[in-house]
Amino acid sequence: MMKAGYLFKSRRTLTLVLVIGPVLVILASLFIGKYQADPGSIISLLISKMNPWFQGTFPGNLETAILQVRLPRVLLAVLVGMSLSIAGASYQGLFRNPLVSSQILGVASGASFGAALGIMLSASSLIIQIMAFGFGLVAVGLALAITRFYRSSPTLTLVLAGVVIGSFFASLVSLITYTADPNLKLPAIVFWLMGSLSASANQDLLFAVPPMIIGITVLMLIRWRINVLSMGEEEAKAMGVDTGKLRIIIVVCCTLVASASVCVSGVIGWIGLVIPHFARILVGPDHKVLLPACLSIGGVYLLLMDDIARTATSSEIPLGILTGIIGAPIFAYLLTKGARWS
Amino acid sequence: MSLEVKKAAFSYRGKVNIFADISFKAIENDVLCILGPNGCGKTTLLKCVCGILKLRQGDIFLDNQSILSLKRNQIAAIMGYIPQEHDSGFAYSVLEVVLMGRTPHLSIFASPSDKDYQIAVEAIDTVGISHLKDRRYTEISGGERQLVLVARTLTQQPKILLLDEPTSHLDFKNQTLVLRLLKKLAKSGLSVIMTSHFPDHALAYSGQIALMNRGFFIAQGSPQEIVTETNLKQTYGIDVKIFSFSDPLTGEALRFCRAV
Repeated sequence: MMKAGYLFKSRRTLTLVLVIGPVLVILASLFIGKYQADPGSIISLLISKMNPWFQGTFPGNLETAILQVRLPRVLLAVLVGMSLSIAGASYQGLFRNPLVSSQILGVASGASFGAALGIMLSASSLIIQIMAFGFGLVAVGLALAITRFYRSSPTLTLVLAGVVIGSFFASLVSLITYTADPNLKLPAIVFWLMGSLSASANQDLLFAVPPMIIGITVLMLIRWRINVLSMGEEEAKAMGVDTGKLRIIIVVCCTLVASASVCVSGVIGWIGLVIPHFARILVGPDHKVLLPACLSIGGVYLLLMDDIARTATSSEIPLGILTGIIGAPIFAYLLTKGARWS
Repeated sequence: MSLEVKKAAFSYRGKVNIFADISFKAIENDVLCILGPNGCGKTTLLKCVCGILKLRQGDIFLDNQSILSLKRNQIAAIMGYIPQEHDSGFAYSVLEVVLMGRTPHLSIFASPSDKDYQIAVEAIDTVGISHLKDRRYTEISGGERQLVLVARTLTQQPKILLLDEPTSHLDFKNQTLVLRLLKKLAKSGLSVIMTSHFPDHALAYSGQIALMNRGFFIAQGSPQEIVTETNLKQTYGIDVKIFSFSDPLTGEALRFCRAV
């Protein structure tokens, strides 16, 4: 029912690109990496795993490199990219403000504090992930609790409360980095804060997958109502929306996916802010199509960045750095072309 | 569908009453105009009637059922509300905005179906803005936006329409278009309640008028008996002269007023 953006002639082409694009990029990503393997043997390995009637034998290190290192990393990159983008788009609709992202309520600062504390206490990687996840939830919980004391304009108060809680936890993170052992602990903390998927082969990370999938699913189910909410609190009420309930559902889902993402990959800023804008240029502001578009574009974008992060140099480049350095010029160009839509 | 407001009073956080002791009934197939100066409490009253704000005292009944016992979507399926000030954060198309009126009829997980699109398109036709259907809501004029909101409210398929100063930002032509449309909708079976600060609009288009000042209704009834020079002076605090003449084309008695 809506005209496609300027980049594609028809809506159908656009849909096709958004659906097939991620599949192709995921497949392609399995073929690149430090472990040198010829594409033929990777293809036969993948076919044999999906097809019970075709069984080949493969060198053990090929199977490990592709299925236990590369595949989980590729899938997590897509999942984190999807999570951060859909949370960003939902928050932008909820707060009626295109400048917010899933970090707005202090999720990232809270999670960073949890992880930094865990690293300082020499906790196991599982405990560090759980602390990151837990403190992400605590930060948003505190922001919501502050909001409860103010009845009028709850949405605005929520943003202010989020900023307050965010700065509080950011200060605590600074305190930890200031006091951390500069030889043993500090590099690990700083690397974590810059974001990376290098730990993705770790089985401990699997616990972060269900919260992301649940959050994404619920946001996808309620996505049309975000349109109504974005018309403003009073109008949404007049159109029959229980705004308090819907706001809580959105905040809880975004918090789930954002804290789970942060505990898998550290802090990767920028995606949740910019991918929704880019998606709006392509498909327009209707959340019914915007959210699926964000899933597609966000997943592909973070996967491509992670492919560069793990292959460009001999050592891993932190993802948080790449997303900004490579992404900013691209999206700055696109925004000047398509500002009409956002 | 009957709407009755009984002894309503409202105040923000227990402070001074914004309005008090207000009772009225919506009239079926006609327009009720709440007429009063800026800041007299009209907007707050409308927000209470449609359930956005909760009354401090009194109650509001839809078919003898208190709105406190109804859910938001139940109220929205009966009453549509059009606010005075409006800005949209995102550049939705006109059709997308109108479609949002289907909300009270859809479950929380649902998106509009083809039938909902059809209802939205029909509402756009009724209001006479088919040519705007695919335009961006943020790129059309204030008068056009007002018509889009009327179409959105019709898409709710309500029995009662509440409008807060529907003509306040419009030029002469658009004021007339909107008011004629409201009159037509009322005659087609809706109860329309609108607020206005402009006596001529109330005189020309409403079947019943309530005069409001400083949070109280000072009079209500038909335009002939209510809109008098004394009442208007009491409402607005300035001297007003009322002129009447009969329309040479229809023979209808017309009245308008002028501050003196």
